[in-house]
Amino acid sequence: MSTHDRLVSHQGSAVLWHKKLYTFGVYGLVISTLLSLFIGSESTWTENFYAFWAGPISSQNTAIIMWWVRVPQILTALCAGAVLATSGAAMQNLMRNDLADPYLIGIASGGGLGAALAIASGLVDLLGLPSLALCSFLGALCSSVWIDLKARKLNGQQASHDPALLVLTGVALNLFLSALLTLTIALSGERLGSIWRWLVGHIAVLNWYELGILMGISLLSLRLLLSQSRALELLANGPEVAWSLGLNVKKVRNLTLIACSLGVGTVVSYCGIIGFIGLLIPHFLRPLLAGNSQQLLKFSMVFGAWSLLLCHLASMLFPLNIPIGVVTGVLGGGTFLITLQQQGVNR
Amino acid sequence: MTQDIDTVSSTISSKLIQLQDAYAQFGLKQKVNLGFQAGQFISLIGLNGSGKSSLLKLICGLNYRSGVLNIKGQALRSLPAHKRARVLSYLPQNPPVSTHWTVLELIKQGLYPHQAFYAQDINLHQEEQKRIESTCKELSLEPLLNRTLAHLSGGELQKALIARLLIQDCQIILLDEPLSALDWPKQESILRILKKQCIEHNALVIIAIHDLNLAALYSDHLVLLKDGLILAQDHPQAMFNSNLIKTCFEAEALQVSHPQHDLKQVLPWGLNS
Repeated sequence: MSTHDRLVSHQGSAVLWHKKLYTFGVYGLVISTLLSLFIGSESTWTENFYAFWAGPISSQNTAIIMWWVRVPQILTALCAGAVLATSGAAMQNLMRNDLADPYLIGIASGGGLGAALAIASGLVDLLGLPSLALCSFLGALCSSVWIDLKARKLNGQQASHDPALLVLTGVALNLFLSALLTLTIALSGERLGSIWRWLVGHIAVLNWYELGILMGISLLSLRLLLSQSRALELLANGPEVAWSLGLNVKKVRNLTLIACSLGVGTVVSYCGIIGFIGLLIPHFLRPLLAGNSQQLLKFSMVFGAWSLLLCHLASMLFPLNIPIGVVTGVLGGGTFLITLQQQGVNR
Repeated sequence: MTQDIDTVSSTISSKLIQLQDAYAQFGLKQKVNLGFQAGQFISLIGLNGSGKSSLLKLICGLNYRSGVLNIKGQALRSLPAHKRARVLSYLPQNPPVSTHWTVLELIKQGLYPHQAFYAQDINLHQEEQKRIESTCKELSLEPLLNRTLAHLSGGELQKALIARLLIQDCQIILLDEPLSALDWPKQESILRILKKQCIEHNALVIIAIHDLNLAALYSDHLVLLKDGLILAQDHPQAMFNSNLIKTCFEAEALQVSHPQHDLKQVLPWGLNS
């Protein structure tokens, strides 16, 4: 086999396999969306189907549930899943650490703290909903910039570079911010009464105004991150090599941090702290995408949205309607533990 | 007067890289005045911690504080990143990589500065494909192309990194101890490939290297460094004839003449000497 054949066949097979994987993800996403639209405990799927076509202005009971509960929840789950998984993949490339998940290293709790402060201080009542998104963005940005500075310092000390160290720092930051968050909730009294579900992470029932804000910011954040996917792949080489390959490292880093904080902050301000998606999805995709790593962000977006939707579906099927954070925790955490154990055995 | 200025500027621009009173951020204790021409093979020699890597980083602009640092008569820092990366490539010592990448993927990263900003597609142009093919053949990387980096030995990874550097296709090639993980026939074959770049493509290769013998055999100039100071820059022959090697390494070397070249080489003393 000549080099030429090898090159061509390798590229061909990799491209084909990744195309198939992507199609699989997209089909899965569409089918799950349809399933979660039309399957429910209260009404049959035909009723749901007619309710869907009746449109949001219909006064039918099922149509109201469809257009003011189901559709917004599905859209929220899709946005949250896509944003969390994509920012997870982006942060992991940026910090050269496969464990750098926005939830684990405290970016989500930073956003949560910002949101809680905005609600508790009455800012949201005063200035309206966009201020909530703004405050959680600022909270997320502060913690992500701080953790990025820390990561760069740790990565700079080549000799003592231990991936666990950054995660430990992140976990400490996460605990600290979560404690502040709890304190804010405890002190605020009435205002944040129904905060429990939010703290665990749930798919909120948003009105269309809130949904518009969430979707707009999510799409913006995803657009920014996806435009950096090639740059972020190169950045996994460390800043020096990325620089010598002609990358404007500072610009990529700033853009990524801002885009992640925007997306994660907004998602957290509505859905609370949904863990594991940002860690798990890129973790499973990375080995599958060998030979085509720059597509990691795109795949993470699709599979993140899909998996969170599946979790949402699972949470709806339980009679108690448990929060989605519990589902991702149980399913995601469980799968992760099993994989880690298997990897340990293989070694 | 104008003529003077003209000659000055022409001597500056005849150098591919020009450093004048350049200060580094770290690692070097003096201002650097060096000039390198196209087609030269330069080796930076010195003990561990003598400032070889710092000097390399200064030349490529990562360790620059003040002074003149020009490539092709233009200030390096003022060049846009993409343009710079088409002229100057740099391979640091033990750079981090993602273990999930395949060898081909790693090598293709070298094409980045030559691709348009929006080029996200994975299919290569014919010309790019040919370049990758010939480079892989030269470095005998063909059987490894589909392997992930996790399954490579240290030397194979080093070769893949060098392949990426060559694919970047720059006139200035800076390498920081690229031979450390390779066996000795591989070391020489890499040096041959780099030397070929100098001769055939008029490239300037600057390499930080520990092996004095190989450096002497392949370099046009050696730059001796000690404790963050530049001791000397000269032809290998002149270097060996003077006392500079001894001063630089703080050790007496057992020197013999190379049987095929008009060059001195250094031998280990062994016991009972």
